[in-house]
Amino acid sequence: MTSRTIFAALVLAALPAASALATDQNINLTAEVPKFCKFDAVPTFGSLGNVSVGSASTAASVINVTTATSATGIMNAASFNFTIPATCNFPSQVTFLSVNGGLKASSPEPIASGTFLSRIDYTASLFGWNGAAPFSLATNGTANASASSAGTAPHTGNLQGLVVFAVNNSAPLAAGDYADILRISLTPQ
Amino acid sequence: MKKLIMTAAILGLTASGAAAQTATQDVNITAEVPKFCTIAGITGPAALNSTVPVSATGVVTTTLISHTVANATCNTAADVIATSQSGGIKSATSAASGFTNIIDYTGSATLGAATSSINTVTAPAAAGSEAGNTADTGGAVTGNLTITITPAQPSVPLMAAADYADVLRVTLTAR
Repeated sequence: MTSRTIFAALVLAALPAASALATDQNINLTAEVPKFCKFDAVPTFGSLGNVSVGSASTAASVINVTTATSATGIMNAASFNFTIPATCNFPSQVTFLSVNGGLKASSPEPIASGTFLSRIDYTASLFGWNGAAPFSLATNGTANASASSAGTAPHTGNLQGLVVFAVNNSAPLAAGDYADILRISLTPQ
Repeated sequence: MKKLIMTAAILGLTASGAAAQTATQDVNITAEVPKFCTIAGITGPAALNSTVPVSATGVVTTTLISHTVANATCNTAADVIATSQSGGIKSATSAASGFTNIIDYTGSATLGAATSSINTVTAPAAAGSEAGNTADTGGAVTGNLTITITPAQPSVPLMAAADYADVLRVTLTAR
């Protein structure tokens, strides 16, 4: 009897405790939110001076100068401003870039004699974006000329700018269809 | 367990590979500069006047008459055409037999390298307008518009009249 009791106690002692069978699996959850900037809505164009809005979207818009010249080919004044709701989740840089360096004709008129202008210049100015210093891009014929300024913090709000055409009345403009692309970019730094 | 680790690894790779997203808005700006031609800086200049001298005995002075108009401009290739509206300097007085009521002339209009020439004698009856050749400037041009008129002595005497007249019209037409 005594030996049976001792044997049972030994067997129980040899069995591992029930809690010793558990094990842990940790899953470390991580996520990286990339830096981004995006335009939240279609731009609005205002103070339309001798221009009309052909179309507007979050990717590209079209502004048409209504009457580019007088009857004698002398450049007319034109201007507009724009507001684009935008968001950057990181301090960002705003850049204005002129693809053509001013409005140029895709098929320039040959000049037989005399002096004619073949480019319509303009100045694009930033006057509102998250503390970015105001700047101006004045086109002068240099393709892909740009100007930029950096914002100081993540921001959501309106990017605002102004475009004013430079009236050059030193000579008439050669006939043609003139165009440029003003590229407005927000890039997280 | 291995599946969980594999999934987590893939998610981690995807997250760390994301590039900063730039927002771009293109504003396409367009302007159309229409074609035009002007003379002396305007589209409807005042007429110029010339009188062909004729002596007391009906001899026409055949000296070249010239006009130079500054600041003629076409901002594209253009046609230059000189046209006599009457086909000669003509009187309304009917010509009696052996006489004429027309002073013919040659004329030209030059802008840049383009010259339109006319000779009114090519239509002797002067029944209507006569146009010179159409000359192409070959491109935008600005400069002097030079107009010449060289009267011709008729082969028969001129009828007496005070109303000999013609209009030589020079037309610049943007192509």
